[in-house]
Amino acid sequence: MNTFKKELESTVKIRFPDCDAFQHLHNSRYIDYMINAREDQLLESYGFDVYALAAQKGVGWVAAQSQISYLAPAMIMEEVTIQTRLLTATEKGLMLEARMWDRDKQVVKALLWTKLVHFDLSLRRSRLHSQELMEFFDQIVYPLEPGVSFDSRVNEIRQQYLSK
Amino acid sequence: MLTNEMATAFAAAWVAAFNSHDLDAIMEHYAEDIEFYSPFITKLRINESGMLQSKEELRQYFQHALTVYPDLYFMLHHVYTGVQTLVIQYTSVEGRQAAETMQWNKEGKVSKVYCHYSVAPYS
Repeated sequence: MNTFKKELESTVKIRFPDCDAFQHLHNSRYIDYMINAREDQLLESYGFDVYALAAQKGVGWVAAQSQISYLAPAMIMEEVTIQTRLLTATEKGLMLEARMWDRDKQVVKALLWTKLVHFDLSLRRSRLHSQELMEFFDQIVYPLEPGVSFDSRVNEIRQQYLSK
Repeated sequence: MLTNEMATAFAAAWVAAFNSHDLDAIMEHYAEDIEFYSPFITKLRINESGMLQSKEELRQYFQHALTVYPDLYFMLHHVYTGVQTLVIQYTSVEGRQAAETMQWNKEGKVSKVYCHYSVAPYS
């Protein structure tokens, strides 16, 4: 049985309309870039299309909580690398991690943890993941060591970057 | 030679094509001289043999299937690599577990398919 890649990666260019007066990616746009990258990566790596799933099965996910640490500016027209992984998957929801780097992954720019709750779009309320969704998540989940907090993860990634 | 990486990438693109309901994108994966075996061929009353022997027949079959199952959404679970063959295990229509054995030709297209399904969980 082939194993799926659990840490996904893609590159994207920072665009003018998403930048502030300093030509930095605006703080409010980091999450969009990282979530968009995750959606593209899911489709390319697993054929998992969140929009088709919503249209055809009426289910999706809503963000319940996000934590983000801004570590270095992403500049206008800069190509950045975004890595994502699924940290946890329970019947109720998911925890996603995304990291934004410079193109060559020498400078870490941001770390995001987002808690997503599974949602029934027609009933407009949360629901439990189906058995087939849980089986899919079991193939791709990539947890951290027990007890790692967001702040300790930021420090860990910072240390990795400083040691390069 | 079909590698694990090629098989996994193929499976992801194949599932994505079905989930988009884009018939042209689906057909891109198949060779002109396709042989396709599925119990759904008889279930959907395409023919009694359960076998299709041309790309045009396969296209018509998939078109019909997309009409019968407008909520079709495949969920990829496992990919197995063989010698120029692969098996894709996924959740198919009606909640059925499915496994398709596919034979690759030299052009990287599928030339033979054997589909297998579990009983529908709601039946």
